[in-house]
Amino acid sequence: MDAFQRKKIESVIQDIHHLPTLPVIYSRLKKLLADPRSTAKEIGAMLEEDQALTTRILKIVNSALFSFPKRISSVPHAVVILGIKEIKHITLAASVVDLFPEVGSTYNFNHKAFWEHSLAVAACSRIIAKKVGIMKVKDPEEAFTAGLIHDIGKLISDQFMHDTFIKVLKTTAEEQIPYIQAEEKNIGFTHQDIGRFLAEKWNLPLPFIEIISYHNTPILKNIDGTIFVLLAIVHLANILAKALNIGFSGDPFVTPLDELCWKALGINENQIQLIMDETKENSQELIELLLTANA
Amino acid sequence: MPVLKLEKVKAGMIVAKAVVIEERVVLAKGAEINEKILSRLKTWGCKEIEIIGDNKVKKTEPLSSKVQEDINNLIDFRFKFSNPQNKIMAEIKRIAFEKELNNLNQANTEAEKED
Repeated sequence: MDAFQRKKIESVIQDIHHLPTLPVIYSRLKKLLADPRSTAKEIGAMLEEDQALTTRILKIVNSALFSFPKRISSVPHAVVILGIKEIKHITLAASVVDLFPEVGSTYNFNHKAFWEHSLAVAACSRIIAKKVGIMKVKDPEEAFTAGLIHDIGKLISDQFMHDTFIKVLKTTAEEQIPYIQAEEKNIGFTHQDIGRFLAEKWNLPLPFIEIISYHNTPILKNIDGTIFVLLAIVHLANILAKALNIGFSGDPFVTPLDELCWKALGINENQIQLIMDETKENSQELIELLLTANA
Repeated sequence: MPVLKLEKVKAGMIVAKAVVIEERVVLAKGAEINEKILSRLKTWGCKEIEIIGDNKVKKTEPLSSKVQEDINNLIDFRFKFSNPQNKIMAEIKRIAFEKELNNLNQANTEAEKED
């Protein structure tokens, strides 16, 4: 993001000094993980200081999506089973859901439907990552978290540029154009740029920043390597979640498939049915586990 | 709702009560059984499942052509900006259409049971 664009976004986001911050426990976790002497027991014990976070992490890793043969009963156990890097991704995923309070009724948009869509993209991203294989994606949990936070810029729009956000939703619905096009028309930049702005402020790892920035327009990010494969995964997962109509992120239209993304994944057409079946099944469970009143 | 031994459960049946193994929900209420789920449940040692209705695979009445047309329009709207010549997108669209039909069939079956 260049300085001009950053300035432009800053000028539109009101109350920029009150942008949400990630929980302290996440930065403590990052520090602990950076120390090679840290043990799974120490990491688990630190995370367990936050009971709500612990409950959510355990719900995610014990869901059918993760298909572990035995129930994972504690965070230290999860660290041992999943691995240290993976637990960092799951912690980020478990942390973000609570960071954005609902501002109030926003035309046709609400947070529950937003997170339903995001959870579907997360589940689908992990399913695709598993199909793509370990040679291309070492860490399917990274794909899961990337899928969950890909649209985070929309929540910033809702909270910090509320009137403009409503205008974009209205333009999308009334003119029947893609949400991203309505953003360009009304504000000259998109939720991808806003999301990048936040992801950089949060010091998120580069793959997350790139996926937040280019998930609708991967053609702008024609790069090789593992980041592009992750980007391709979330791009396809977003298409499939919209095709299945799970939740609602403000955009009623299925994004066109980028050919380079499809090629980068190396999966075949016959696998789509299974991916969509599994996505539907696993998203329903995750939604019940994480978004119901007593979740 | 009948509780069936796993070997009697067939693809197409609908789960009446979430399947819990070792305090973990492995299959949500309302899920439709398919071959992959069956094989996974066997691996996890599941013995029986409560299913909706009688112990027959759900059979749905054919939907009227008007309803099919409505679903077609709905899917066409959703895919308005996707590249129709792309065969992958065509496959995704076909599956989306089938899922909408299944959803409607399932809703109809449930409504009939309530009547």
